[in-house]
This record gives sequence, structure tokens and C-alpha cells, in this order.
Amino acid sequence: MIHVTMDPTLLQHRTMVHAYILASVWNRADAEDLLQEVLLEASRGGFTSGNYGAWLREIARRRILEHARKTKRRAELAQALRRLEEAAQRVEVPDERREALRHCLANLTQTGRAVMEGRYQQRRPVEVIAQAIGKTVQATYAILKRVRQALKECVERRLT
Amino acid sequence: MNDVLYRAVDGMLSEAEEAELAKRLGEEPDLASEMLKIARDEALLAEAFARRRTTRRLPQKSGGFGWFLAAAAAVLLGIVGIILLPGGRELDYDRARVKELTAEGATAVDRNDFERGEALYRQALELAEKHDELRGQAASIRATLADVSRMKSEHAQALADWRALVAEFRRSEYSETKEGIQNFLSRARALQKAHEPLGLPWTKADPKEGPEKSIAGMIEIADAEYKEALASARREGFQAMRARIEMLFLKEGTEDFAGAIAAWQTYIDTTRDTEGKTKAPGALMDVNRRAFGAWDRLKKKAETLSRDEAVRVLKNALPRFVGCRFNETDIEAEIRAKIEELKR
Repeated sequence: MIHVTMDPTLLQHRTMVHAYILASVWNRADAEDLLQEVLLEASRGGFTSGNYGAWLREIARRRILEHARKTKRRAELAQALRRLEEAAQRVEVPDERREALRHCLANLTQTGRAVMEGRYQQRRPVEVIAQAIGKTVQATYAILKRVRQALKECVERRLT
Repeated sequence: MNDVLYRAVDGMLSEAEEAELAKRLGEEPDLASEMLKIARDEALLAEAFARRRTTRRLPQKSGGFGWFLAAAAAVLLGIVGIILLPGGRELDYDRARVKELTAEGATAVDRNDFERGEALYRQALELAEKHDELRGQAASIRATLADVSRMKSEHAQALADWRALVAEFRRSEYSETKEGIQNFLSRARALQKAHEPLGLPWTKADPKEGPEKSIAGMIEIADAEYKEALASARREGFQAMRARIEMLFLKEGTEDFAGAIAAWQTYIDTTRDTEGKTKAPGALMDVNRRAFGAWDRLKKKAETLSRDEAVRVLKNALPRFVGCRFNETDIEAEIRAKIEELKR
């Protein structure tokens, strides 16, 4: 795991590149692998001047297309990537959002915390989390949805 | 639409849905923006939990938080590419001191001495913030401080929860009912599961140290109480079943032996209680014995009646004896035969 998270500026770029990849490949594990590849490639240098985030996303775009060819998925991806690239220029990752999320996570209910930790910390499938908390898959997925929504609202509240 | 986007990032779309969404993303800029915002929030969540994963697990594996800091520092210097410029003795001194303080802070956190850990990290942060060259370290220390603060409050909450559980165990009110014990056990197990990753003493203590030192010891005792309550409930279950069958099917004068036999047979087939399984066949045989006695009386009564009346009485009684057998006698078959005989 490459920890570029130490530098606040790089942290923002890293998050946005991660989001850009995840929005394109729709698979968390693949997205994390591709993110690592992009950061590794970026760490070897090559950036001269201009927009560092756009440069990283260009590396990511090449990796995503390569990945799509390898998995023979989503031939329509090229056009979608153009739209996502445009969106990436508009959507921001302010530090305040990260901080707000940190606060909001601290206030999760016990069940909400268990589901979120299972999903994001232990990276378990919903089926396994459902078994662990003694609920059905549908109920667990509903909890996941509710917690995400609650977190989103909490973050928005803190930011306004 | 949000639901489809969330299902997409969760990898839950069908191939057809994926193709449709990819097409729409290429055509609809607003949808692409929405997708990117969702993916951004997911990326932030992944980062938040990845940080927890790192701060919690590395110390356990390596035996010291210092290892994590050393690795983080190496990564910071090597990969992120922060170049350490020669900036005079003060910078060198402060850099070395930051390293020492964070290592000491990590050791304190490892010992769950969060107050001292926080104080050491704060000192380190103060020094790091003096130099532009150390801004990366400062950011890292700030993040660690936030983690330490969260760990501190998690540990404080865990201690309060454990003390409350011990107090409840001492009062032992929970053990008055099977449901009470079950509820207590499930809370104790949930607490054990939640506290184990924190490495708290009561999760590591040997059960032999007793229920007030070891959560596993407490669960062992409550589990034994639960099993005993369960066994007792099952015993009562057999008695309760017998009383219910007597009341429903075997009231004197209107006995429905067929219904009683079916009820006992269902109980035998479905109960998981060993004692119930052992006793129920005896109860079933008793019903058959009583049916045999009732049939004997009925037979004698039929002999005193006219043929037509006897046939009517036996036909009416037949459903109550369906499936009844005693020793080698098939009571139902005998009644049917008697009816046929009287009809002739």
C-alpha cells in the first residue's frame, strides 16, 4: 500500500483519482489495485507543469481502459470517461469534507458501525456481514444504505 | 437513480444494467457528476476505514506502534517525495526530536496510556509545525492524534460497558428466565467481539481467572446457565404438551384418540429434546391403550343396540379411532370390520 496520504495536497488528488477510478470500474478491489498502479507510476515522475490532478487522472484513464480491455467489459467506457473527467474538474474534495466525515463516523449507532466496519474496514461482502450481525442480506443492505444516507446528510449539515 | 449508482459502486449491477449505465454516463453530464460525488464519498469512507485498519492492526502484528511510524516515515520520505532540504541545525534537531517523540508516543499508545501518548504527539506536532519542511510529518501526526483521541474514547466506552456487564452479572437478575440469559449472553458475546480488536485485558484473560476478570469466563458460566434453563424448559415442554393434548383431545366421554395420536406423533417427529423424544412414545402408547379400552366398551354397547343403531353409533365413533393400534390390534380396522359385519 502506498501511503501518499501524508501530504494534504496529494491526499486530495489521491481521493479524487480513487473516486474517478471507482466511478469507472465499479469494483472496489479492482479500483484499489488500479489506484496503487497509478500512484506508483506517478511516483516515478514525469509531471512537468500544469494541473497535477488532471495528469494523475490521465494516467488513471489509460489504466482504466487497459483494465476494461483485459476484462472485456464496457466498450462504451471511453465516452463515459470523458464525462467523468469533466465531472472530476467540477467535484471537489475539500479537507473540511474529510474532517466532517470523521466526526459523523464517530456518531454511528452500534449496528451502523458494525455494518460499515464490516464493509469498509474488513472489506467483507454484505452476505458475510449479514451473518455476523444476525440479519438478512436485504436488511443489511438496507442498513448500509441508511447509514450512507445519514452520513451524507451529516456531512452536508456540518459543511453548511 | 442514486440507488443504481450505489449498486454500481457496490458491484451489484447485472451486465445489462452496467451497459445501460455506461451509456447513460457518456450522455448525461449530470449523471456523471452524481456518480463521481458518490464515488468520492466512497473513496473518503475507504480512506477513513483504511486509516483505522492501519492504526489498529500494525501494532499488534509488529509488537509496536513505532514500527508503523518508521514505515510511514520511510514512505513519506521515499514515495511522497517530500525532499528534506538542509535547513540548519534547528531543523535537523527538531526533525530528530519529532521522530523520538512520535516513537515514544506510539509506545505509550501501545500500552493504552492514551493521555501520555497524546501529550507526546502534541509536543511532536508543535515542533513539526515550526518547519515547512516537516509539514508532511505534521499532517501525519495530526491524523494520528485524531486516531489516538478516538481510540481513547473507544477504550473509555469499552471499560464502562465491561463494568456495567460485570455489575449485571453480579446481580444475576438476567438468569431468572431463559430469554433473560439469552439476551445477556448475546450482549456479552457482542461486547467480546467488539473489545477483542482493542486488545482489552478482559478479552485476553484466561477464563479460569473468573467471570469478573475474563469475558470468556463470564460467557462460559452464562452459557452453562442457558443450557440448564433450556433443558428445564424442554422438560416442562413435554409436560406442557401432555397437558395440552389431554385438554384438547382426551376429555372423558369425548376422547378424540386419532387427534391425540397425530399430535404426539408430530411432537416425536419435530422435538429436538432428548427427554421429550424418550418419553413421548410412552405417552403415545398410553393413548392407544385408552383407545383400546374405549373400543372395548363401545363394542359391548353396540351389542346391546339394534343393527342399524349399532352401525350408526360405530360410524360416528370411527373418526375418533383412526390410526389407533394396541399391541397387535388395529382398532380402526376392527371397527370397520364390525360395521361391515353388522351391515350383512
